[in-house]
Amino acid sequence: MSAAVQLEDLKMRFRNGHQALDGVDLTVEPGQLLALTGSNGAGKSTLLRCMVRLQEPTSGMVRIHEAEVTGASSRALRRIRQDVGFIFQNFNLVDRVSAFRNVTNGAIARHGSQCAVPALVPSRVRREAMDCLERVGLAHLADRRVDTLSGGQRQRVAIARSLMQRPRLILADEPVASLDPAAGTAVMELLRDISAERGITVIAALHQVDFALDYSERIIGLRAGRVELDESNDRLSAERLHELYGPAPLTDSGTRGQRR
Amino acid sequence: MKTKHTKSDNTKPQDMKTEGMKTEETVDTSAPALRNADPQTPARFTRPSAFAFVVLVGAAALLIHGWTQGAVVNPAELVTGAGRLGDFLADAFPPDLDRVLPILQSLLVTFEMALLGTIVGVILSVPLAIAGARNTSPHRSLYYLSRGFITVCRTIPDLVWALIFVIAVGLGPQAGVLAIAVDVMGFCGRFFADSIEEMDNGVLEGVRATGAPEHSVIFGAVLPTCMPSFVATSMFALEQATRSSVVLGLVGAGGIGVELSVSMALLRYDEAMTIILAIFIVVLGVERLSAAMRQRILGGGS
Ligand SMILES: Nc1ncnc2c1ncn2[C@@H]1O[C@H](COP(=O)(O)OP(=O)(O)O)[C@@H](O)[C@H]1O
Ligand SMILES: [Mg+2]
Repeated sequence: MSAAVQLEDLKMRFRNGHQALDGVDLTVEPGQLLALTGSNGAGKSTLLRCMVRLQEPTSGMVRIHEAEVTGASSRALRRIRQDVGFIFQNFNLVDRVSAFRNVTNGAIARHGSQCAVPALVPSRVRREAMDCLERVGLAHLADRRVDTLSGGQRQRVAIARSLMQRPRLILADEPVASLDPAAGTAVMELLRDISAERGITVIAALHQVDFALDYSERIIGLRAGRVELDESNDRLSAERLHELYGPAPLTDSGTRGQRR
Repeated sequence: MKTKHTKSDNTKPQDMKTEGMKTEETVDTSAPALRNADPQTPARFTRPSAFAFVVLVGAAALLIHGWTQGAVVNPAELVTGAGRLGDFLADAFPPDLDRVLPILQSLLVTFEMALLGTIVGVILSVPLAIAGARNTSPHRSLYYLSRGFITVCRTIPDLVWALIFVIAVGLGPQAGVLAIAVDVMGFCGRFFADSIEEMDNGVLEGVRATGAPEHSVIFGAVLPTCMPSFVATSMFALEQATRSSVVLGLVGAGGIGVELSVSMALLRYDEAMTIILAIFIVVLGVERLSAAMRQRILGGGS
């Protein structure tokens, strides 16, 4: 089977000169749930964002489902993004509208711009949106404005929006970092289950070691923009993973990692 | 912004706690120290900065020059002026209600002029604002073009626009409608664009990341997010337009202003007073309506 994601020597340097990604090579098999770990500032967010060019990589190559992302025209890029759900730490939903409307926004790329206007959304899209909300357990809150929902509920609305894209890949940037433990567990379980039942590849940036060990099949450790660790979960000890965060866990290893 | 969000993971609460403690400590120790020791008491007067000095001198020069040109407030003339104002009021009351129907009619036309001008202006402001907001503009050149256009609309006073449109489309309310529309574009275009720029970039990214094209990002995320502020701004614009539509008649752009200037010129102050009172009631009504609507929309937002 062809790879879901292929990265070759991916580099990203911010305008202030900071090298956030320093040559990342990575191949992700389809259907895997992969955890991206590393301390603050290791480059996890930058890596995920560069994959769909929410941030432009400086050099290197990104391929998603055999389509080249780097160098794609804006139209081709939209076509690629259509198959990729992106989950953010801060949910990034449209706060002032209903959960339902946020989910139908996920259908715009596939079903056309009329899905952005509630009155024009086709009936089958509306049904599918209810199915997606049902899948994340929020069908009863379809009408509720997003800014009245809890963090865990918002993140599940965001997952429903990405399900609406019928994604083959979901990129999740710290999906549970803003949530309390119970809501975080629910979201991680949801991601694992939809990955298993729909064969969706999931790459989740997780800085909590426990979540990474509990839910992923493979763990990538980043440090200062490089892949420092790449193991399948069953061969990895928690100690080895903790090492990634530096020997003295009380200091801010993130800043130290940058200076290396 | 982005850095802040991504870095806010787990360390933030800790950071904030230590910071909070630190400030408390400094306050505790330094407050008594300040009272006991006597470092330097701040001077009673501080010397103005060079900039303030230049501004003050400039303003003084302008006032002196204005004096020579008649821009003065002369107490003696104020007294005689007050007397003449008394004559005016004596003539004006009781207001003459003979022509109240035609007056109300042309007041209605004035308000309709303001309403139509505002609607046209608001509708045109939306695309202008989208092009003139950094985070939604299709191209940098369009951004500057739109912002420039908005600035021109805003900086030229509506009375001047009215004079220009009277030349273009002739005397009458149509010139007034156009003048108001342009004025509203200057006002709403700017505030709509600012409100789009204030949007959380993450919300836009969230929709863009689904592969949605830019124009549906506008409909799916930008408009619903900015709608309350758009409506509130538009209501302000309608208030302003109602006020200025009264004056536009003075330069021939239709409406009640013509009636008022005719009554004044014919020294029919009692009739003028009817007009002024009618204007007062209408403007006040629009203000109240607009305030109520803004209250509803912004109040319901939280
Ligand atoms: N907009 C930016 N400009 C400059 N540096 C940035 C910017 N965003 C992130 N960085 C830096 O890039 C590095 C990687 O950041 P990020 O990918 O957010 O790390 P992580 O998600 O692993 O915490 C950090 O050192 C961060 O300070
Ligand atoms: Mg991050």
